[in-house]
Amino acid sequence: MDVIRQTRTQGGWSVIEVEGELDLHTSPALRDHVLGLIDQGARRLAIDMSKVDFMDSSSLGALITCLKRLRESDGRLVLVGMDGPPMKVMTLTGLDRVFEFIDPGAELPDD
Amino acid sequence: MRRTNDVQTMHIPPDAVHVASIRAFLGAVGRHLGCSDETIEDLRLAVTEACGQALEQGAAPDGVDLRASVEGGRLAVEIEPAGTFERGELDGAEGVSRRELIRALFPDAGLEEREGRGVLRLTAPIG
Repeated sequence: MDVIRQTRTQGGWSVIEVEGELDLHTSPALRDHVLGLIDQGARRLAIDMSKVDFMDSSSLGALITCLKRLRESDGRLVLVGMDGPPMKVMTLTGLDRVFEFIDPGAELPDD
Repeated sequence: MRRTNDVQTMHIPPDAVHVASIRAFLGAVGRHLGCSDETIEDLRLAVTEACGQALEQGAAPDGVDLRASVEGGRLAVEIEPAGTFERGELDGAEGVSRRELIRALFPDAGLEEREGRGVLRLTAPIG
C-alpha cells in the first residue's frame, strides 16, 4: 500500500502528505522517498501526518533516519498535524522532544 | 467471541505485509468485547511491535500466531513467536526499545518460553 499521497512545494518547503498506517511494511517507502528528496537537494521538509492513524516504532526509526540526514545537511524537518495514536507513540518514547511539530493549517516557518 | 474461554486465533505468513491484518483482527476482537478505543489502539501497537520483532529477527520462519481470549474479565493476548527482545532498539533513538514500548502500554506484558519459542503475553481491560 502506498502511504505517500502526494508531494508538493510550498514556499521553500517540500511537503509530503502521508496517509494510512505506518509500520515496518510501509515506513521504508516513506523513508526512501524522503531520503530521495534530500539527495535531490531538498533541505526543508514538512511531513503532513494528519491523515496517519497508526504508527509503530519502525516508523519512528524511519523518521529519525530522515531527521538525522537532514540535520547533517543543515536542513530542517517538521511534522504537521501529529495527533491521536501516532502522537502517543511519540510521547511514550520521548521523541516528542526531538521532533518539531506544527499544527495542521499553520504556516510553515520562513527560516 | 463470548466472555468465556473461547480462543480466537489468527495466523499470518512471515511477511511484514500481513501485520496489518493481525492489527485489524485484534481491533475487531477488542471492539466486539467492548474495549475502549484507547485500549484497542494500544493493543494494535503492541501486537505490531511483537510481530515486527519476530519478523525482523527471523524468529518466525513459519509465520506468527495470535491468540485472543477472555480471562478473568480481561482480554488476554498471546503472540507466538515474539522474538527475543534482546535487541531491536530503534534506529538512532537512545534507550528506546520495542520491549519498553510494549511494557509502557501494558505493564503486565511478559515473554514466556514455550518449546524454545518466545511467547509474548499481555492482558487488557474490557469495557
